[in-house]
Amino acid sequence: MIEIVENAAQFAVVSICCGISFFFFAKRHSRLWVLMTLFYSSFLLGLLYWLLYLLFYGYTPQFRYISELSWYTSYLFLAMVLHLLADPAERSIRSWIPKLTIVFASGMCVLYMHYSSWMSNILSTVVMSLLMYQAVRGLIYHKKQKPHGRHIWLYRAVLLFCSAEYLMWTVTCFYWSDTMKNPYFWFDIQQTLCFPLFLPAVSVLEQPAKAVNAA
Amino acid sequence: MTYYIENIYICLAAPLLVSIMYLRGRKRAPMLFLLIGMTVCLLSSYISTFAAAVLQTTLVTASVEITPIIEESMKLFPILFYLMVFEPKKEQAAEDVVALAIGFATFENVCYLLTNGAADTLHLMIRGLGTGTMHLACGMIVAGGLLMLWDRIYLRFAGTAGMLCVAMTYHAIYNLLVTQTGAPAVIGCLIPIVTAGSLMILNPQIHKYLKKA
Repeated sequence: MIEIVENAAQFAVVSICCGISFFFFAKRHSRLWVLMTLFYSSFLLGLLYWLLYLLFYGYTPQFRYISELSWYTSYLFLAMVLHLLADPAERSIRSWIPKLTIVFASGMCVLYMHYSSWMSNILSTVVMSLLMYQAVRGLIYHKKQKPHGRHIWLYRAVLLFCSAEYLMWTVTCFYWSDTMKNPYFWFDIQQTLCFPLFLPAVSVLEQPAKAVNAA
Repeated sequence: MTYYIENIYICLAAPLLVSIMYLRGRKRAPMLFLLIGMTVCLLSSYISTFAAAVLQTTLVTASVEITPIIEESMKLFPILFYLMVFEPKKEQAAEDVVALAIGFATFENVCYLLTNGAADTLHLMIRGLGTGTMHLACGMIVAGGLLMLWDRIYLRFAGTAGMLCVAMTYHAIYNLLVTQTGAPAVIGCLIPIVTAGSLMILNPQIHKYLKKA
């Protein structure tokens, strides 16, 4: 029951974010808001499918590919947003620290493969590596810049989002209960709270990104 | 009564094939895409049946969890080939994608009629409108998304995969709802109609964006 309530709350939050994002797209007709709307809407569709399945059958789908593909797609759209917002100098930064995210994601993939399908884990590793790599690279680059306020909030929100996802996956491997004592639900709430954070972070960065792309 | 979908396919495809040979120029494209849509539907039914047998699932599980992945992937392949090889204009490509989706939905509805009978007019109207519009809406989602994200190489690959997954999930939600009874089934049938209506309202916004891009 708690899973249904928690998913419904997440559905409500993501729906509002999707609506706001679409409003910005309709107002500004920019590629950035197309991608943000796609990020929210594909996550929302995956969540809706999951929620309806839970409501109708009382258990989660036997083959989870549909929801999982939808969620990984939304992460891919978020990675495209990060790519679009990155400065050209940021893209060419040489540092070994961002590469550690790939090592981390691969290591976690090996762990998760003991508990669930290998195909889904490989896909999630690719998408999460891409997302975390760009976020860490951006964080390193913008920490060196003065003043460094604007981009950092988006990258921090992305890393917070990714950490919630990894914590949820890890908890699911070792423990499951349909009560609020289950840490899975705490991290899911953390992820839900990350969704609205992306909106102001992206909105603030829209103008500088336009200038860089025009240059 | 046993029936063979290959024979039904031949009957439906024959007039389209003749019209493709008879028509000239741009008028030929919609007929061709209708035919491709029907062919894709036939191939999808083979693959779905095979996948359901291999995974040993029930009919309902297959229609809710496997069929959307196969059908949407199969619909995307000819569209991708068309976009990559012929590089059509954006508006023209969108129209052709819709024609393909209609071809798919028509063949699926004919097969449904043969399996379940054609006695209940109201049910068939809801089913025909629902499924037909669902495939149309999926086609419009894929077409709109692809056209918006097609002009940059990194967006092209990620955007294609992304729009495919969005269409799959949309299709799966529809199938999940229509396999229920009562209100969920009615809502399921109404969702594609509302989506198609919304997409038509959004059409000017999308065109504005495409012109700007």
